Amino acid sequence: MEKDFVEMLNTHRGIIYKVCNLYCYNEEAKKDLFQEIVMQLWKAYPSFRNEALNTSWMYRIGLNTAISNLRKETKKPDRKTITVEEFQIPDISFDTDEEEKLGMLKLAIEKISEIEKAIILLYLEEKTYDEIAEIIGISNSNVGVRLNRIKQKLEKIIKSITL
Amino acid sequence: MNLEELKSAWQVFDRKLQVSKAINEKLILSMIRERSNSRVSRLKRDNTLLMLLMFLEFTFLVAVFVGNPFDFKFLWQYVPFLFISIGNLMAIVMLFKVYKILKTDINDVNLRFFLQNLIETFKKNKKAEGWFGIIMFVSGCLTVFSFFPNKLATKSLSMAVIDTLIPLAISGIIYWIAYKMGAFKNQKEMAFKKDLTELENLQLELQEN
Repeated sequence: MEKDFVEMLNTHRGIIYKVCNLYCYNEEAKKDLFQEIVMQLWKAYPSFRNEALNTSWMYRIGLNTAISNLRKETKKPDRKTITVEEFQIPDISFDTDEEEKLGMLKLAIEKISEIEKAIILLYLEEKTYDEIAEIIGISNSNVGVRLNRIKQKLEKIIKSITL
Repeated sequence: MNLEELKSAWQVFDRKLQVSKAINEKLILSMIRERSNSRVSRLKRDNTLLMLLMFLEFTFLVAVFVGNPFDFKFLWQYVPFLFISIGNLMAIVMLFKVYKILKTDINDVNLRFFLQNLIETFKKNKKAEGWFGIIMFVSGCLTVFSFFPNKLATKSLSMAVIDTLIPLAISGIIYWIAYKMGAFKNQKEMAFKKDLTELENLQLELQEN
């Protein structure tokens, strides 16, 4: 079972990295969240029998963990982060023009709410409205309305950054 | 620049992530270890605080026996405080036993051994914890009666009885609330047991493959 789990985790590890990058702003917090998401995925894995798409399931658990983790942040006890040397979460850097744009997008996303972050992440991942609705747990029409609002909000923020 | 334009930049990030280093089994094991570690450090802190509290209480009890600040006239008035002292010493011994295990760095020993050892200690302490609870409950209720002779000296019998029963009822309610809130349940043992089962299953599967 764990071989399949590791294989699935490796195939879609980008999902966890993206969630960590969107919800955490420093290396320690990212690693902490990464650890928490993997743990939650591992715990939920026995009950997961390809009932949903791998990616949808991973997004759902990843986003739920990220959001609930943030809510618990203030009362969280001291904890050590992963010390395994070879482990590194790839960061959003600003080397090329495209990456500079990405940095700008990240800066804008930082300014929106946690739920909005989840919706925009799924939109950027080109998930359908149905998939977003299933992962977030809102109605299909609600996704459209919310997404439009978030897009407008983000464009406003981006404009203010570029000015 | 609008959002659609920035969407292409997201693909660059996606490609970058796809070539990132793979995650191995070792990492998953280390995560379970880390999680237990964080629980252990929490336990260490709780343990140290409780020990400190118990030592403080013990100092207070010694002061009661030596200085008689409540003007006790009869020897029996000290009995509830003697019970508390016994419970107090028992708690210190129990906490010290757990502390000895918690002192071990989880990274230096086999995780399975560490968890088994910890669970075993919790099991051994369970009986003593039960006695500790009974002693503290009985002495908590009896302490009120230690002050009865002093109350009787200044009040009528009925007033002294009422004045004794009120704090007794308050004590009872506090114990009942604490019980209902799960203060007497050892949830730490359950959490470590869960970690151990998880680890054992994972190791078993690693051996099979």
